[in-house]
Amino acid sequence: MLHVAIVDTKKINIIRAEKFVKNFNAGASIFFVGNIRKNNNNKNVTGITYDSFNKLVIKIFKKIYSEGIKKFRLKKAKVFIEHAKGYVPLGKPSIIIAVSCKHRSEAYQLSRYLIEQIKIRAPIWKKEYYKNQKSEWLKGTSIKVK
Amino acid sequence: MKIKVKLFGNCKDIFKNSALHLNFNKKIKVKDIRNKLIEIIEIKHSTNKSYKDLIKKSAFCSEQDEIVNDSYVLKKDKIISIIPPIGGG
Repeated sequence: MLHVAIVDTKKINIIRAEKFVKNFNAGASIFFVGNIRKNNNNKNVTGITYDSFNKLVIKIFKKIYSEGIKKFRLKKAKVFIEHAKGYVPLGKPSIIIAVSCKHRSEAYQLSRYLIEQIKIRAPIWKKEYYKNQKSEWLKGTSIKVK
Repeated sequence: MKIKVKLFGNCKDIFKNSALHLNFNKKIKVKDIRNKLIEIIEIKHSTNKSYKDLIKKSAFCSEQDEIVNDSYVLKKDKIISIIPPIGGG
């Protein structure tokens, strides 16, 4: 069972994630929250604006989920993925991935797989803002083309 | 042939828009769109090599939401999206 969405930065919170992955068949729940951190490449970060190609992001989130379920042979996993779009200030969350599975090992594996794949495959871009009033788009990783 | 190129991330700032409308006289490939964008940058931002590099490193996405390579021919497509290097999460 899967929930994926791109959401307004003010709407992203862990409460809905907890409700979604609650599962009496699951012995393990893992919550990954990606937050805006203060320092990146020796620059003092005050916030990040996220841009995204929503339709393609949703398609890729679903594909990554299907791959993960197959890869780790999971039957009753519940997964919640939400990513923020717009300006996220320092310390606030940009992404929440919640996973519930029968056992902890598979929950850890699936959660890790999802975030690592999202980082290299989901069309999402970051513009960092700094304390000295400057800003820049981060270089990122080119999407693989067949 | 009119093509709308949807822009994301840094490309929105480079072209100061969320989309570009380009005209072509013939059937075109993704390669032609990439070259056209580089031409525009050479005119408007001739001193900025990083902008050209960004276009060279970018992927493209068809109207059917598939990542396509430079030899992809735009037949029915009226819209194509440029996907600069990504970095979400």
